[in-house]
Amino acid sequence: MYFRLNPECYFVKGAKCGAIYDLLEGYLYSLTSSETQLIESCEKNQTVVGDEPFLKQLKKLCIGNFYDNKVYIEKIRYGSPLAEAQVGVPPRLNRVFLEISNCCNYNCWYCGAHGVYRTLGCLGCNIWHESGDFVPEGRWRELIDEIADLGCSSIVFTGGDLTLDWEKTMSIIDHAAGRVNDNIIVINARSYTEDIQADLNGKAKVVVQSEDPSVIHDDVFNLLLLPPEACHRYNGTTTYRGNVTVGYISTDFRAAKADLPIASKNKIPKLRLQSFLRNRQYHPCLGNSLTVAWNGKVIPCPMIRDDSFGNISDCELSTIIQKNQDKIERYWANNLDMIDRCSQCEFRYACDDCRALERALTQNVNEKLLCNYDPLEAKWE
Amino acid sequence: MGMELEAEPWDAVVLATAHAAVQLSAYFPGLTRQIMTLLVSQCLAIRAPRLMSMGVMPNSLFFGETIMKFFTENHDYWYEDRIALSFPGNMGMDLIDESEDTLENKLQQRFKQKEDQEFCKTYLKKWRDFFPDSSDLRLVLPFDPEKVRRDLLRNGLNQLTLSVTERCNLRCKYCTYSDNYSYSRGYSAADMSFETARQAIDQFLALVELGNRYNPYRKISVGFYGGEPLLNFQLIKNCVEYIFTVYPDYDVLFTISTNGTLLNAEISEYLMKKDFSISVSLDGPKEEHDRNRVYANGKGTFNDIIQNIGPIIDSGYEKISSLVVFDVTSDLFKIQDFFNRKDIPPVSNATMPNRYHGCTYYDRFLPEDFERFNEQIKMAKEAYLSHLNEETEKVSFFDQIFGNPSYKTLAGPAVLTDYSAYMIPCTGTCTPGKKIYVDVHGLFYPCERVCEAFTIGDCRTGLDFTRISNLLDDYFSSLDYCRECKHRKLCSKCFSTLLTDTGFASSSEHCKHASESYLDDLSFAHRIGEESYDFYSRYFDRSDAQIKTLTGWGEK
Repeated sequence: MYFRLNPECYFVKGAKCGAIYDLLEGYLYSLTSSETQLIESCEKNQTVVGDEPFLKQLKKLCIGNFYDNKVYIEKIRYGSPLAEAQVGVPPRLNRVFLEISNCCNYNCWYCGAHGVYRTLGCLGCNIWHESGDFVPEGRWRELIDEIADLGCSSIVFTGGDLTLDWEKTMSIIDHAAGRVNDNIIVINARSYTEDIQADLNGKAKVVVQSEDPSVIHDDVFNLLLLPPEACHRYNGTTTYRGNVTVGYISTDFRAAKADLPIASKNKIPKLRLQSFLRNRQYHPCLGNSLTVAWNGKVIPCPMIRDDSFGNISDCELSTIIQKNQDKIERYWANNLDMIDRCSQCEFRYACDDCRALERALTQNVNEKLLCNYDPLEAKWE
Repeated sequence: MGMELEAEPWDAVVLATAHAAVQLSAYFPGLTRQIMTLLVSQCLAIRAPRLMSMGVMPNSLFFGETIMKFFTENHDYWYEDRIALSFPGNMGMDLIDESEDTLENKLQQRFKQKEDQEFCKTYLKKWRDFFPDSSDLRLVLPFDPEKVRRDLLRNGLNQLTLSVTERCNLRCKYCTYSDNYSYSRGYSAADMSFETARQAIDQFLALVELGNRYNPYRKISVGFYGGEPLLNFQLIKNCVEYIFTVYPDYDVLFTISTNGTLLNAEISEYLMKKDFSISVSLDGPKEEHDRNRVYANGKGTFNDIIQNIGPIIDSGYEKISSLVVFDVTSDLFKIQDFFNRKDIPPVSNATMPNRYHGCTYYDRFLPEDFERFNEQIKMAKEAYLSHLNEETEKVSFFDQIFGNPSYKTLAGPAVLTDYSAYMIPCTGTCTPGKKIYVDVHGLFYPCERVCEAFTIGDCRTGLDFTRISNLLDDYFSSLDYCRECKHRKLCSKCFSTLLTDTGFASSSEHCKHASESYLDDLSFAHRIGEESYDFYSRYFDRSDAQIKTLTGWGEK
């Protein structure tokens, strides 16, 4: 007798234990050490000896089945691996952050300019004390055309306070609407008005950033920034309402680590088929993404500012990508298989990760600090 | 339901003209067949209105059953074409469209155990939301030239192949240019001029330059083809030097397909120095090779080729491979042993002589030849299956004829997405212009296998995107069998499969018996997976390593 997981169920092995990812239902099943060994052997088409109540349970859960003979299970995937593996296929650029301003009249204590560590810094606004010239408005418009021609489907417009020169911002947004499918703009709650929402209607989705939990808007996406001590109110989850995501800000994440695991049992998001498949190949956040800073520098993400691929003031984005193919692909492919600790974790393809923050805290691009799961012992702290 | 097609009188005139042009070429000795067919293709390109009432196809092309059953010795499986995945029979995927009312009853009839019934019921429920709406599968005609242009700038322009001469010093018995193939050019003594080659290179690289904006990762190759390309070696050298001089910033891979008889020391040295990827036509050991690959005087070519490639292999040069053709009288086991030798270049492609529409090559074989061949294939497959778990570095002949098609059967189709991320929604065809084949006169074609009635541009004016769109329209208009087909995503048909002198044969004529072959492919692909759970990941690594060695393209 043989037992195999269904096509939509992937087995992922960690250092001690394994997990089964059901990509249709979105469930992640954590296995004990002995269950892991059993499933690993089954997935190698080895015979099942004796009556196995655990396997019967899996059948009842509809994630695997028994077979009289060796069987081949074609695992679910998305797209054609053969087409994607061809040499010279276009870069899979899915998202570009454009910092179209570096001006702001507020002085938020958690701003990037103050060097305060934060999660989801990429989705918020910041200003930076950096040298360089502002990219002219016309160049931003040209750049949007280049991004569209590269097949990119999403642009996140951020600043600075983008409402300070609203005419310029709207000119750029108008240009992007219709060229790129998914446009997102980040606006500080203090600058957000109904008029602004009306201007953006149908052209870009709005992310309103606020550190005040009482300022939640129903008709936009809210990024709520909280200090660690406030996070318990939200039960450690990233999202506490459909349109609210919580980001954490701290002057000392190391000290806050015990209270604030970024990856914790409760925070592993519901599995999504495409995310799982993508995470096996790319970093969950850095993968397929680039940022163009206010001064034209092309950088891996809005929060990794010390490594640049080039400057769009001098040349087209495609040329920068061409010249830096290996370097960019290394950032993109730096998925959790490459992170020492995560590579031993069975939940690695379900997990989020902020490389910028980990890198800033550990001074090492391949280390993981903000997690409370020990894959060697298979225990949550 | 689709509307009945009504051809306009103009279409009848154009078609009649096209047919007549080919016939008439015999009566006008002053006009070559090429010129005559160019006239025909011009007629086809400018015709209006279209042969089909555009917009009708979407409603008629992609409906019908999408599931088919196949077997291995161990199991039965269902292949579901909408999502391009196969499932073991006990999952009941053939009942996915069954209504709640009838499902229960059918499951009771099929499974004795209640737990099996429950499993299937729950499993089908799990899947229902993931099945694409049938509207996703529609093809919108006509193709828009601007969309075709953008698609090619992004996904195409990978390869320029220059047919530097139509001369050949061999008369291989299965040659596509022999009388066995009605719809390809015949033998000829024409050479390409440097001016023609230069213009083609300029046109190609100008498009590549434009395309960088859409695909900065594009890898490009310039190939030399014939006839036997080394009969015009000076032109090859001129082209290479031209590209190095005028386009120094381009990382061009040079490739050549040669019969190997002219690979003398001087030529070999040059090709290696310029880092060519060299493909030598070599069918196996002497008795196999010399049966078909002969000089014009009938003498076999094996000894000359082995003598010529020896120094290349001895030098450690790795960008050399063998192109193998075998037919129904080949000894597959001898060929396998031969290519496992270390002094023989690895097999990069192995095929049987093409069975294009209008091919008569196979007429020479007796029914018992086919029977013997089928028996041999069975034995070879069993031999292949018994060695699946052995670690080998070299991609073998059996890998190419059994492992590779199986891998492609499983990894090729677009799972859970619509027909393709690219322009072409079904069948295995490319968008013409992904590769550009240039004949000796400077006319552009989709590939070396497509006859001269289907130009897609020329070296003076470049790619003609309207012509490409028309060609795509005509091709998809010929796919009348697809509505009944249960393996659209597995389909490997392309222009060359269906083409005639003046258009495309209808797919219903060609595909009637195709199901059997796809079921065989699926069955063997699954048999491999049953015998070796990690075969495909290991095969991908080996095959990928071979491609990297032959092209020098280390990273994507």
